[in-house]
Amino acid sequence: MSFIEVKNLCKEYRIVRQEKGVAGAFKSLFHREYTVKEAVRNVSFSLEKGEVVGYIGPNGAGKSTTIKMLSGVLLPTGGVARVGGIIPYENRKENARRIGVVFGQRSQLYWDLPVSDTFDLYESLYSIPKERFRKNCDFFTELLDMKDFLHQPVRQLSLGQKMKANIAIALLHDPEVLYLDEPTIGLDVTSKKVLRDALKNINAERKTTIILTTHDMDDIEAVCQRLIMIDQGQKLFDGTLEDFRARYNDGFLVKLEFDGDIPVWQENGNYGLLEQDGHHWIIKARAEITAKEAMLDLIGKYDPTNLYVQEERIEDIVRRAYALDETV
Amino acid sequence: MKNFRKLSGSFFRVALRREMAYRGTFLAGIVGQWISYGATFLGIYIMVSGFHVLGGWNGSEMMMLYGLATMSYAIGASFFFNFSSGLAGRIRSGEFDASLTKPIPPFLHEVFSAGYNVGYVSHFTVSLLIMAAALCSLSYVPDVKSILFLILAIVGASLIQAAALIAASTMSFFSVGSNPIAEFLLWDVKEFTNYPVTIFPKGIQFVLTFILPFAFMNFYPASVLLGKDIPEGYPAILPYLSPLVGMFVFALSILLWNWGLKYYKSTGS
Repeated sequence: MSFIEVKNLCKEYRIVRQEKGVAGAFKSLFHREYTVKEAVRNVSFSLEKGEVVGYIGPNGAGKSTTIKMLSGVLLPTGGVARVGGIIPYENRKENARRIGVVFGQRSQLYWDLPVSDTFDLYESLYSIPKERFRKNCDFFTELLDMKDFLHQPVRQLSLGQKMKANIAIALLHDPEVLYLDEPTIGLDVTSKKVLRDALKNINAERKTTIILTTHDMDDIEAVCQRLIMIDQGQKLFDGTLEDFRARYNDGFLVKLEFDGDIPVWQENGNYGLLEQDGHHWIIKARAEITAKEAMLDLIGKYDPTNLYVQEERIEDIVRRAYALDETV
Repeated sequence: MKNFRKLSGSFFRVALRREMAYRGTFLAGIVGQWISYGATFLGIYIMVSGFHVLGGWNGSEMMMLYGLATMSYAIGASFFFNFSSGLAGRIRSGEFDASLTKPIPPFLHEVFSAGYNVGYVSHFTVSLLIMAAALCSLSYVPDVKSILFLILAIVGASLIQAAALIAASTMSFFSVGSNPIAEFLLWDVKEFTNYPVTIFPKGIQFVLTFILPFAFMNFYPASVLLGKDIPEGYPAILPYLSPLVGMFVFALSILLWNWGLKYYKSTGS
């Protein structure tokens, strides 16, 4: 059996339909109409110990709901999830000792106290042996570059510093699994890099299984061996990043900027002109040509002042993937 | 149990440090509470001293009722006020979910991490003064037995106050909007306890004794200390049961809270 087994997991929410205005509010006091929202529909996957998986999908796709069921916060309405042989939402306490969770921007730190105080608290909360605790504190302080702000009140910390501290706290008790809900959202480039390197390191040294949700393809590229994509509660893809590209990527974007007059666009089967104005073009290049070919070709033809190559955003890929799967 | 002591110790240290982080707010809070409770007390004092006797209780004896209610609230609320009033907000913001990923019962984690409200020190001191003043003016000479009884009664009363705060917060699992049940339980019903239960109609006496047993918080213990009548036909043992009633409703409120939590876990928010 795999370390994490998710089978036909479902979660439905009942949402009260609010009618407009005071009259509507009054009416809903007596008669409520519910709409059922299927946040997670029949999702199945299995993970081995030590895997790092990126869990992606647009906003509202059901990512957080899945993570909440895996961490024991929510009960599923159907299906089953097993983490290390136990059912998290039934053996909540036992499960809690074995997992570390960071829910997005919701901090577990105490606003008016230094991070180090929260560290001490978690030592007794998880009954971490003294020796082990000391070692982990030093290890994560070093790894996440936290020395400078460990003794500052949390309210003075930046977003990136708080995220680092939250991740350290989630790992102090040596969990076997780490769930991260959008760990890099809103962070600057340097903090993102420190975080990604740290996650890779933790996975390599401690064999911690990591599931992270993200909107940033670079997160996936940097740390994940595998990718699971869901949309509207359903799993659309499960495989390696290369497979994902091969299956869904159909090209990349090139932006050309011009100083003076804009040249005349020549129709070409390899490119499509998406957008243009007085001094720039955005061109979609087909997947059949490489970025190098496209760059040389476009520079030769149009002589732009600047040229940028951009990958498609995950939202766009997912949207197309969803449309693609629907037509199949 | 040893673990529990260590854990509550750690959380207590954190709570104290959080309270002390802003010295100005901390001190202003205590002074503010002093003024506000002093004013309420004065109002009641003026009123009861005007009445002279209400249902066989004179002004000083009714001050004892007020003192007991305030002291038990001070103790119960210092542990459970932040927890109770903050729950809806924590559910709304999603912070509450963190309590479900910890290896201790979510109730315990919520209570611990909500922190202790040190500001209630002021209620406590005010109520201590009120009771001392009341007993002095009655020329009451307490013996060891009555002091012991008083302490046990206050423990029971504090548990009743705590239970009300816990029960009120349970509503947050169903709706994070305004909480009319909390308003009712914590303020409206308790208005009755400022006066001897015996002045009310039979129905209200019954409710305050058996349904929402706030009478055990101050009326019954005070009736023992001051040798007052209890409602007609009620068992004579009743006034001595405050500690038991306290433990019972406290346990019941935690069960209720966990029942609400079960609802939350299956619906999410």
